[in-house]
Amino acid sequence: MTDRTWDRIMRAARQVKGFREDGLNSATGIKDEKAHGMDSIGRVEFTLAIQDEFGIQIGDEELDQLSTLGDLVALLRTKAA
Amino acid sequence: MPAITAVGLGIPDRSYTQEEIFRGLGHRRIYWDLFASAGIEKRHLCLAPAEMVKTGPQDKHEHGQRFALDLSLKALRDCLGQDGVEPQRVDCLVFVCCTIGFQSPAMGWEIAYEMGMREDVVHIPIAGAGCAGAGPGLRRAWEFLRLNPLATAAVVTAEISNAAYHPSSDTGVILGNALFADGASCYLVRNGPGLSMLDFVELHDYAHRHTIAMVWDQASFKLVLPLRASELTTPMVRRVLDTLLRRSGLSLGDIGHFVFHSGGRSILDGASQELEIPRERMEHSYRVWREHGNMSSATVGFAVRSLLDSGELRPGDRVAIVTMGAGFTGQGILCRYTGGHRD
Repeated sequence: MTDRTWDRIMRAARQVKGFREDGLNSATGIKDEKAHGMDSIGRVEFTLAIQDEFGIQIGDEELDQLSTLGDLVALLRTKAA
Repeated sequence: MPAITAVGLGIPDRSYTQEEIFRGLGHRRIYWDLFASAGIEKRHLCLAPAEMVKTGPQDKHEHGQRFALDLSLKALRDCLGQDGVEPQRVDCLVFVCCTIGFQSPAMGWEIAYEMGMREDVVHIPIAGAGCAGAGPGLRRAWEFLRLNPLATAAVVTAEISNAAYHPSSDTGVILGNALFADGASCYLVRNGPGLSMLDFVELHDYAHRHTIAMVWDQASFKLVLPLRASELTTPMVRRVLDTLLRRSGLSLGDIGHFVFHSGGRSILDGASQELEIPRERMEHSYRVWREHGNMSSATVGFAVRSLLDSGELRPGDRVAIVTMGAGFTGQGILCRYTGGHRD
């Protein structure tokens, strides 16, 4: 995946300690620590970094709907539209 | 040698699950992982979380004073009762707290008045030592006992999280809301059988003096807490223990029991992994974490009490107590169990 939204997600994620980018794709689970290296604190940092990167707020209900990185891409595209 | 002969505890009547606290404080969903992943089953709080949010600075201050006194008296009565010591026998009262702010006279005077202590009690108030406060508290009592061998000292540590609750959206503050609780512990220190205190170590990492802190912000205390405190605490535990062991000519294998400040699961896990101490040998600290969370300076007393009650101690056993807190400071106490009233 090489689109702009994905690149910006990765840029936000790189701020998080322990983050690993290799092998990630849209099907990677957001809570899959083994895949991306972000622990529970890292996932909070990641969500905050995403909000900063895109200049948006992710609501509680929206957060509950997110399962994979692909879901996040879709949400961010929707909010940008 | 001055020894801890009893430890008394004081906790609020009501405890809450992480979910109850999270909902009560009304945090956004993105912060739930901080609460859910903490590994805490319940925390005791004097005020319901939804009430904490509503309290203004003056109420927080008054609640802090009232609840700290209540819990201190509970812990002190529990402590003195175990050894059958009347309050009038206490010669020195050390009071340790970092959450309820500064006042003059300090809370120790209120405690002494309520307990009917003598008018010549030596008061030693300790504020600003953060979660590590039990270390300097016990050390001051030890020094008092060295100068006054027949004396009795009580060290009260009491912390009220609500007094330091801050309506901030700072992630470190919210992490604090996910971990901290209310409680008090009290140590009786006398020359005699018990947990004899052989040596003390106090180390400071001044470069990080602002990394973990309580600061004044908008007429309230505000907790400054890094998201990954174990990056500070793990090397500090190592330094404190290495120093204690080097000075006594001992090795880690000579220490039978480890009691660490239960400041967070990652803090305990970090110490266990770094020092290759099996978690079972730190179980009292882990249990306190699960059942109470972080009660700042009062926390380590709960683990010491758990160890004393466990029946695991045998005369001659060595115990290492390590606390960490604002400064960034590590405090270590090397103890040897010399028996006690439970034997």
